[in-house]
Amino acid sequence: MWFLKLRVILDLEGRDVYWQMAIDEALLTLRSRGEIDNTLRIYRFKPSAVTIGYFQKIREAVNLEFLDESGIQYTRRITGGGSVYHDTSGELTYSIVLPIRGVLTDVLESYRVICNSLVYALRKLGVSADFIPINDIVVHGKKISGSAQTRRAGFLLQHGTLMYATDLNILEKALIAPREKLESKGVKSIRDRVITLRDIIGEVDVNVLVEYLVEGFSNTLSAEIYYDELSERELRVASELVSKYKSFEWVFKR
Amino acid sequence: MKSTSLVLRYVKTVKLDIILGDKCEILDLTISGDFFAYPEESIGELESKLRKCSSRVCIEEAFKEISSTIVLGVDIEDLKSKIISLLETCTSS
Repeated sequence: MWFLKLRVILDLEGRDVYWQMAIDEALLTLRSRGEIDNTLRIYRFKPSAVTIGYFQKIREAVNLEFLDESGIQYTRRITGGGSVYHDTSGELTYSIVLPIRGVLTDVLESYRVICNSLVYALRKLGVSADFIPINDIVVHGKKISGSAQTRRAGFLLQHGTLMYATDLNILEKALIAPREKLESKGVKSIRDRVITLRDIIGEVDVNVLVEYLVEGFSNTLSAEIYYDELSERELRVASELVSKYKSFEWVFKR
Repeated sequence: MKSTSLVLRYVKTVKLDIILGDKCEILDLTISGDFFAYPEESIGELESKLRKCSSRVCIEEAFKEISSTIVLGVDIEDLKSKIISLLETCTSS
C-alpha cells in the first residue's frame, strides 16, 4: 500500500437521492480530470430513497407502487449491484474516489481493500464483521453493508451503505429480490438476509460511527486525511447531472 | 415470435429476456441483474450485437468482442451457452 492524502467531506444533514448520486459522479469526473484530490464522502439521503444498480430492471428490483405511495424517491446508480433502501434515520452512505493503482488495480481486490475500512469501523464497535466477496459485509451471516464500484479513465468510484438502524419493515416493502436469490442465500425474505447495528449492539452514536469510519479508511488506505467542504465547482458539475438522475430515460432505461 | 425469460443464479443474479423471431433470429435481448461489469457500457454493446444474431457463430463472435470486459458475479461462458441453447432449441423445433 502507498501513502496518500485523502480529503474527507461529511454531509450528515443530507440531500436528496438525485443530488447525492450527481455529486458522486461529479467527484469521479473531476478526480479523473485531476481537478480534485482523492475524496471520501460520508453522507445521508434526505429524504429516504432507493437506488438500483446500473443493470437492474427497475420494475423487477423495487416495488414502484409502494415507493410512489410512500413518497420515496428512487433513481438508478452508475454502479452495478443491487437495489438499496437508504433510510435517512438509519443508514450512512460512503463514497470514495481513488486512482486505480497498486492493490486497487484488481477489481475484486479493490472491493476487499475499501470494504475493509468499514470492517475496521464495525470491529472497533465490537461487532464481528467480515467482508464477503464480491461486495458484502456481513455480521452473523447477515448483510449489514453493500458496496458498488465503477471505473473511469484510471480512477474508481466506490460507494456503499452501512445500516445502523434502518427500518427493515420499509426496506422489505420497498425492495424486490428474485426468489432464486433468496433461495441461494437460504432465506425466505429480504428481511431475513439483512441486519442493522441496532439489532446487534443497540442504539449507536452516529458521530462515533462516522469517526470510526474515517479512521478505518485512513488506516486501510494508509491515508493522511483532511476535512473539507464541497467546492462551488463540484456543486456546479453535480447540478448539471441532477436532471439525468431525475429523468425517466435514465431511471427506466431497463 | 417467441419470448423467453430465464433467471440464472451465479454469485449474482442474472435475468435473460429474449425474443426470437419466426426464423429463430434474436429480435430482442436484455441481460439484467445485480452483477458488475467493467466497463458497464460493454453489456449494452453485447446486447446490441446479439440482437442481430441467428447462429451460434454470431453469438460466439458477439461474446468474443467483450472478452476484455471484467464481469463479476456472472459465469459468462454459461450465459453464452444458455443463449446458444435457446437459439438452437428454437431452430431444431
